[in-house]
Amino acid sequence: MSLFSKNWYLVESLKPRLKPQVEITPQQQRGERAYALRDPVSGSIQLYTEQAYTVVGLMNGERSLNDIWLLAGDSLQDALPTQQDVISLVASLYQLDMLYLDAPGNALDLFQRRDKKQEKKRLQKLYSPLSVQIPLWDPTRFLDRFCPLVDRLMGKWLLALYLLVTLTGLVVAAQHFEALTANAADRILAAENLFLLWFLYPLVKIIHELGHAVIVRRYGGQVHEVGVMFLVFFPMPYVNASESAAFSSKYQRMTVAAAGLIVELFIAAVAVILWSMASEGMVKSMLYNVAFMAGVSTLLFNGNPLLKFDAYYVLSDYLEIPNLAKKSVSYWGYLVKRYVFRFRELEDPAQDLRERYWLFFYNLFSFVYRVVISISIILFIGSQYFVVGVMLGIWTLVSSWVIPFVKTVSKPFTEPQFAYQGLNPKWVMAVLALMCWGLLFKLPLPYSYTAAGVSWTEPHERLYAGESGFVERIQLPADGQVLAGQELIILTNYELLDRLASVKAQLQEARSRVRSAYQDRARSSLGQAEVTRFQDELADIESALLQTSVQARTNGRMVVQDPQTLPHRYLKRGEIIGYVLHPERPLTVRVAVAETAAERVLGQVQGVSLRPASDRSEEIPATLAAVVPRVSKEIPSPVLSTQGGGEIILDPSSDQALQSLENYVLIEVEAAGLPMTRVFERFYVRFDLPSEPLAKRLYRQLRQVFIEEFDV
Amino acid sequence: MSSASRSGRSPWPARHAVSVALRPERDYYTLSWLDRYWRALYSRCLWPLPRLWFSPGRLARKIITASDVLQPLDEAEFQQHLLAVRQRLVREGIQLSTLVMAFAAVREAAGRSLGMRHHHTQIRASLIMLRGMVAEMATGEGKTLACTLASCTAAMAGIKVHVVTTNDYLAERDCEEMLPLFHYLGLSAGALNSDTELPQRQKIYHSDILYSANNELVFDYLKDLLVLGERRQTVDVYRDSLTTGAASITGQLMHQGLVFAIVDEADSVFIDESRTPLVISGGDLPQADSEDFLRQIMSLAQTLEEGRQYEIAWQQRRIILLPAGRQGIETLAESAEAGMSWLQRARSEELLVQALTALHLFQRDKHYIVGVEPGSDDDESAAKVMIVDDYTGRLAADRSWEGGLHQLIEIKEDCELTQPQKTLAKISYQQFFRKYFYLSGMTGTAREVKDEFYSVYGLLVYKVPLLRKSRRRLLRYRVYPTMAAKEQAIIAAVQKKIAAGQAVLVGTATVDQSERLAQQLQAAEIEFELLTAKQDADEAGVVARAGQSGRVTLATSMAGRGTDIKLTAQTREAGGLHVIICELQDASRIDRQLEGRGARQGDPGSVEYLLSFDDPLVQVYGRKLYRLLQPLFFLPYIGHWCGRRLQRYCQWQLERKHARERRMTQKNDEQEKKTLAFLGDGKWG
Repeated sequence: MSLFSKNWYLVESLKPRLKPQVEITPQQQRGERAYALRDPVSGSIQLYTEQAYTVVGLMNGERSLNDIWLLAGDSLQDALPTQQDVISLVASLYQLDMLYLDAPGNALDLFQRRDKKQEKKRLQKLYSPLSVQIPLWDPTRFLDRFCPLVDRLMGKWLLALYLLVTLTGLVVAAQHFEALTANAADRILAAENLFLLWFLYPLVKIIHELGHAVIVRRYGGQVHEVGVMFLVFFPMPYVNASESAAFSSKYQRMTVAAAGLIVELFIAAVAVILWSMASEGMVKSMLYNVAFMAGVSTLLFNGNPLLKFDAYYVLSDYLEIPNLAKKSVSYWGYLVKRYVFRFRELEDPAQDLRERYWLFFYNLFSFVYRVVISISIILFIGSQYFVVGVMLGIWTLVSSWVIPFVKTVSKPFTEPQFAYQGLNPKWVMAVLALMCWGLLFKLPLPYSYTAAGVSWTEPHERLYAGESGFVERIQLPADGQVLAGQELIILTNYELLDRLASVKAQLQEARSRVRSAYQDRARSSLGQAEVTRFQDELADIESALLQTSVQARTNGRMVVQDPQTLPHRYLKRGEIIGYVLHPERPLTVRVAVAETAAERVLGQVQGVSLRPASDRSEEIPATLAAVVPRVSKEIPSPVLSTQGGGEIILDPSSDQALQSLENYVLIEVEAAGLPMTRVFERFYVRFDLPSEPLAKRLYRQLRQVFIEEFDV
Repeated sequence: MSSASRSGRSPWPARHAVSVALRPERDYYTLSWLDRYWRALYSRCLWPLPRLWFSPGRLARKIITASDVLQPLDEAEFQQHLLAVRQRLVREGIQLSTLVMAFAAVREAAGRSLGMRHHHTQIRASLIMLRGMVAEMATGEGKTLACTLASCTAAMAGIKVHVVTTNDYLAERDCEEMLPLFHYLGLSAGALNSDTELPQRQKIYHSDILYSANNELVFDYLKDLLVLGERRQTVDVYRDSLTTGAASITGQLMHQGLVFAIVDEADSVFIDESRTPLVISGGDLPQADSEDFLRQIMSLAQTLEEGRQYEIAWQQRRIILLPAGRQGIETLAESAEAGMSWLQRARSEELLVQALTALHLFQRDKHYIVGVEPGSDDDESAAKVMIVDDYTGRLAADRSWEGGLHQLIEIKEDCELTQPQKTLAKISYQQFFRKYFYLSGMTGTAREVKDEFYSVYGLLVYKVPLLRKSRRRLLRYRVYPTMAAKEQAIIAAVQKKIAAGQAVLVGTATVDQSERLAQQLQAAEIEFELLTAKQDADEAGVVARAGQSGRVTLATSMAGRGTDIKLTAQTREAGGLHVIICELQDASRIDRQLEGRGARQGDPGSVEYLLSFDDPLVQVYGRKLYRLLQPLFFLPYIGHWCGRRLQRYCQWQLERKHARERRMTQKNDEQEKKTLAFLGDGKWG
């Protein structure tokens, strides 16, 4: 950087003067003094370093810029700004309308600048249609009347009250944690509730914004703009509290930014307390909604410093790093230039180690977070309004990701410093591109698919009551070893026994009737039919009675559920009492594989292994045994559903018990060496698939998302 | 201002009244990124299609027929006709309907006044130019005559025409040659020259057709700016004229507006020269570095070692100061008795780099020469450092390096130190030529830079076919392993050609190389004449003699452009002019220009490239590649081919570097303009 500027001759004789209305407030920024210049007329604010301020301070309308520069050099010595710095300083002050210049004929430029500003605003809307700001009116008059009222309230006792209420709210919320969180998603997304949300949300937000405005006024600032911001088409009120940037105490600036959060937390606390006292009904659900919005959603959005909302400004002010996000990005740029391109001469934008950490991690986290948020917003809109959604999604993708990406990538080729500072940008970019390509497209990464399954028994291995009845006798062998056909439990079904007796009697009667009607052919044949009927019935009952003895149908070890409750218990027909498992019998596990993954799992599986849920450290090799040849929503066991502790979500609207929301393919997996000790135990089954590069996998997932969400 | 000037170009040049706007010129404009991409796309991919549709050949035939009709007219009748043509042109402006008539009349007038009628290729070229494009016309096809059709037609329509070329010599020569035609048509014309005084200059600017070197035109523009000062608009000038007396301001102005320019050697003017902006300086710089301080820095720089305290990046022509080098400054600061002022402290590192640059990157007789200004009668003791222009090979005595570099070089060469001067006004060629409402050009070598023509100036390139088949033969294209071998080969080639009776032109890239060759030629007892930046006093004389049989001329690229070497009958019979190119120039265009000195307008001629791997071009831009490919060069057949490719590759690297620099210059220009918006709506500057 050269000390002299080639354009100095154009400006050296200018005699700039700061406009009289410009207010100057000193601020402390990381141990250094900075100055905020504020023009109350235009509302613009700019922060200058001490160095720049020295130059600005010399602008009195009598000294020429050249004199100013020389004077600044005398006082700043080694820290003096270059001539180009001074020119940029004058330019920035001029752009902010804080400077009188004795340059003639600026009228045309004034108009052009206004046009440019307006054009920029319009373009902003075009570039990011998902967040559009529409200023509405100047609230000064309202605030003039409103703020004194609030100001009178403010004081120590208000703080005490505030703390009391919020703490109570917190305690109440903790007490009712279960009730508050149970089924939260369902309750909030239910239809009638959405209406409430639409109605209440802006109300809560207006109070939130009022909080900002009041605090700005309290510390002597002005609020000249309120408006509506459409975030993903959802209207949100906003106030322009940018004047707080000129406050000299960082705690005041932080308070302004945090005011909305503070107010909302209070609302949330009040709502929770009232909610806990209210009786069921409209009021209660309204309070619930308010508490949810003011509490949870506020903390998630406004309280998240990774998004450029309230918490971001609080953090940025607290750290005394103005423009944290931008600086963080430029710090990353510095890191890349320094360590990837190996620039020789480069100034570190961070001043100390702590700042370095902040800058490093802030951009890292916010980048990842932004990626996630962008994807989910696009998916959300896309699933709601397909054509518009996809178009908007693509546009947002292009304007907020593709264009910045292209700009970043083309930087090494367009910025002249890359050409002579470090390594040849062509080579570096080529190597980087090659590395990315390799990582994404070539490097095969181990790949597997994991699904939950249950250990599965065949019907003949189950012990169940063939017929209902009271347990009469139990003949369970002490060692649990049983043989096929061994009688284990004998039931008495009094109903059957009584019916047996009655049918027997009826049969007797019918037979007698047949005998007595030997003369009448018609009656005799009628009676005969009756006899046959009763005989059949008798046979049925007898065979049913046979079923009252529960027998093992295979050799093996018997497992009985709750043997101590068995005596005299009434067992329903088909009720499973236990299982008989052969010691040699291999463990079979039935796995529900999502339909989308089934093709890959079945087609490419290279190995299967199991991990029982009870002991995940154990890994059992297994083989694919059979595939149930259908795709259905029926799952084999409730163990796999969310109610049973699994991951498959059951369809709440279905009348069948085990109906899931999505389609599954059932696969049977066998672990040869391992006997089955427990039935319906949950297993995690891992299907090892051939290694595959990341890009292929991402592409497939994207395809699936599109097919699922948009049917294309 | 007409709407046409806002929405791009009008299809034909149009009149701009000087009475309304004092100096009509196009407003400053920048291209949006969309425009830039569109232009890149258009000139690369789309232009070939409409080019097929626009065929000047048909019109040219029509014009020839129309002008043949005029031939039998007697003088009075023809004058009558001319008057009618002129009236119609003034009334209707230049249009397709008036064009044929006007061209035919001018062609006939040329026949009557100069004894030359335009060939159909020349008519085509003029049509292309009048359409706002660059006509690519092979060297020696008579561009000077060709452009008169366009310039005279425009002038007859009342449009002020500037015919811009690269140097005073060419401007004067062209103007003089065509003057009979202009006078015959009743048009006034004049050529600017660096020695022309102000009243004379103003008169020339008033004339219908103005011939000028590009820098004269721009310097005058800058001088006008200084006169205009804070007066941004025409009204300001008239207002101040009223208050201070009418003639005081307008009496000092020269330019009459920038309406229509025909730029001869368009690539040289638009591309090569546009890397450095033109600066008018004067007065003393208030914060100049003191001589003692500069000498201190210089002596410090001389003690530093390469590799330890600094590195040289040859490709970027840049010094990189290492930390050990910075320590030198600190010791210097400590040793200074009175301590350094803040200005000196802040300047010391920058100046140290400049001093190292002066020592290692700038070579005498390549980048600059030390001597007395040609034409002045100072003696040897008043020798001064003068810059040699990379592209034209000419001296730029009025230019100086900035940021203390010039003074440091003067210390290095033990010259008297000149005072660094303050910049008073500055403009780049890009900015200047974009102010013209209507721009067109012609050159022998445009295709390499056609995209840049369009992206910067909005000029499309259209190639004009040759009138007669070229009789230029490429004899050899050899790359020798060492400098000595190359020089030997050159001497041998020269001897052979002069023995055969041909005239020989040896083209070099640097003064240094020419002087070494001169010594060798002297040793071989060959008579020759030298034409370099150092010896350019008798340029016209040397050029006039260069076509004689057996004559050897040794020249840098300054002989490359526009120089018309007239052959004697004897030479023509022996095979015409033989051009030996012994170093590749900064761009292949310039090589082709040099080639074009021979075999002009159907004459015979030959070219020969005799290069070596020791040439600075290869040493700087292809050193690594050379080492890598070295075994290949000794292979039969493909060895030579590889050598040629390597040379061309290095040249291409250099061309690209310059293109990048030009882009940066323009970008910086626009950026600065944006930053300096607070200076107000600079109408003229």
